[in-house]
Amino acid sequence: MRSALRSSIALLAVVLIAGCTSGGAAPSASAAASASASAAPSVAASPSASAEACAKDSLEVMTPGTLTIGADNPAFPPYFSDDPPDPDWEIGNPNNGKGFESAVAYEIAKRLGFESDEVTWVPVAFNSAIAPGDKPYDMYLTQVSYSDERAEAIDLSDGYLDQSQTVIALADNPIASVTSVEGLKEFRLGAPVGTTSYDYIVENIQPTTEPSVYDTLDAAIQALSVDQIDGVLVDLPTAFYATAVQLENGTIVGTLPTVGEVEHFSVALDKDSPLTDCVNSAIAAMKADGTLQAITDEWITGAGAPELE
Amino acid sequence: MGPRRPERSGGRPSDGRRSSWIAFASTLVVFGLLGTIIVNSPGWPEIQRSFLDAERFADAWADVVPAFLKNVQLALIAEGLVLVLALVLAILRSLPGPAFFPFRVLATIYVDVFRAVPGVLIIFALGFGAPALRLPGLPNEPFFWAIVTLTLLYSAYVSEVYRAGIESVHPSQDAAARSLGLSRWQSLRYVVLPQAIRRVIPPLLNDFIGLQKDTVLVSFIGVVEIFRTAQIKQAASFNFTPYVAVAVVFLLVTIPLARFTDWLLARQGRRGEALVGTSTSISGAR
Repeated sequence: MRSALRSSIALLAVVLIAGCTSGGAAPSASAAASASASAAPSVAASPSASAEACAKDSLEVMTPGTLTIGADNPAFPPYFSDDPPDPDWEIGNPNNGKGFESAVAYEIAKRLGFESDEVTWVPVAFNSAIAPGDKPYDMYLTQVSYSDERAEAIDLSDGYLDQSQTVIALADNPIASVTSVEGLKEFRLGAPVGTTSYDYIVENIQPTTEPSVYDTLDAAIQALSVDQIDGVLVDLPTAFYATAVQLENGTIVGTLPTVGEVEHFSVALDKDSPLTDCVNSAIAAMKADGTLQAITDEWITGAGAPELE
Repeated sequence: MGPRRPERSGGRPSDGRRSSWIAFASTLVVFGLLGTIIVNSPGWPEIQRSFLDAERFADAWADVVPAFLKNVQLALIAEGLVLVLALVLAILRSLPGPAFFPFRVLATIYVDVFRAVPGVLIIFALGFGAPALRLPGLPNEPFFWAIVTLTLLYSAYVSEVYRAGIESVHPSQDAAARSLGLSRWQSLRYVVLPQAIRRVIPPLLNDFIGLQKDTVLVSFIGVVEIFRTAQIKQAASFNFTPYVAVAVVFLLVTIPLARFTDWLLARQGRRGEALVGTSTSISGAR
């Protein structure tokens, strides 16, 4: 009930401001618009959302003046960091701005006009974030892969991280020191069946030894650990998970150049959220000015996933 | 079968012709009816699209046939090893006297275990488990461990076939040989085994048909053979036609072998020396 009231007030405010801005009569509204434009200058780069619509005061957020962001708990590295930890969050702590997704979230918030202290994090299970229904947050970042099916139930932003093909291996295998795609050719590679990883091996790496194919990632990793193969191709998030949790003495050899279309992580928002266009313009601006690349370099490449040439 | 007729020897010549006509007509009706029901089922166009796509079949065929070479290699090597190991096991189990009791127990445990445990578990245990022991000198190639798995698995079955053959040789044969002054081993080697093996050739071939099909197990530990090749194609296209291509390859190889087995059995039947109980022939009474 209260949230319905709140959103209708917010809607009313938006209608009023939009009306005034287009009329150009009220000095207060135009002042607000120009103030927000200077606060987030990069938003102008996006054609999809106007600077006015994405001004902080005209954004329809849950709690006025605060951007509420959801994340799954526990929040895993390298997407979230425990430096410093927070008693409310297990493993990683989104509040510190460290870790890839925390950094991306704060950067998006900044471009929407929210300072760090105007951001609140709420723990929300991944499955309820991708299910239809009312959301307790304005936006949600926890490695949500874009899919058309999910996009029917919720809004998904443009991608902020490509799930590149990634080679994982045992740290003491010679493959661990390879720095180029060409260098991978001489090794025994494997992949789970039904993944784009196998296609990537056959089409783009073209190794001299026929690649091995397994029913599951677990089987591929077992083969890796008993030295039946030198490297396994998986997508980047899986690579982080596998080398951290599944594979003892495992390491990420590197991410491979993107060929064709790859899956990507999207910010998840409520279906038809008024914020979606603004988040997209913020991401576009972050891509345009290199901020996103810098964050990726710091938290993904820096977390041990170098790019192979 | 219904009431028996003494048709083989006592029937008139016209009986044969008439019964072939009846067989022909009945076959036509039964197959026609089955075909009509399937083709007119509501899901048929979908089945046709996802299982019987001619273009995808041709495409898959070009890939699965070369991949089948791996299965053939695997089957031939394993079959050779099975013939030897199974015979050793069967002889161990057939050794008489209290002194050989532990050997009989060992062989029995072996046969029980490997007949009971599903092949896919053994291939995982050996393919991924044995190399994890990191024993020096042992290869960790999946192909090697697939051969070991198939050999262990099928030796258990085939040793039972051998044993049945050995036990089917009447004890008087052995007694006669021993009374002629042959040693126990000589009697086994020159009198019992030649008769036993000759009798078990058809059931042996049956087990080898099984072994040939089970070579797809090797795919579980990473080897891209015929089944995995088809699976890769299936996963890329969400179409099951490549699996049908695999089935056709196995049919083409297995049916001639099955007919050959039947023919051997029938020939032995005429000579009265077959062990028909272990046959899985579908051809029925002839």
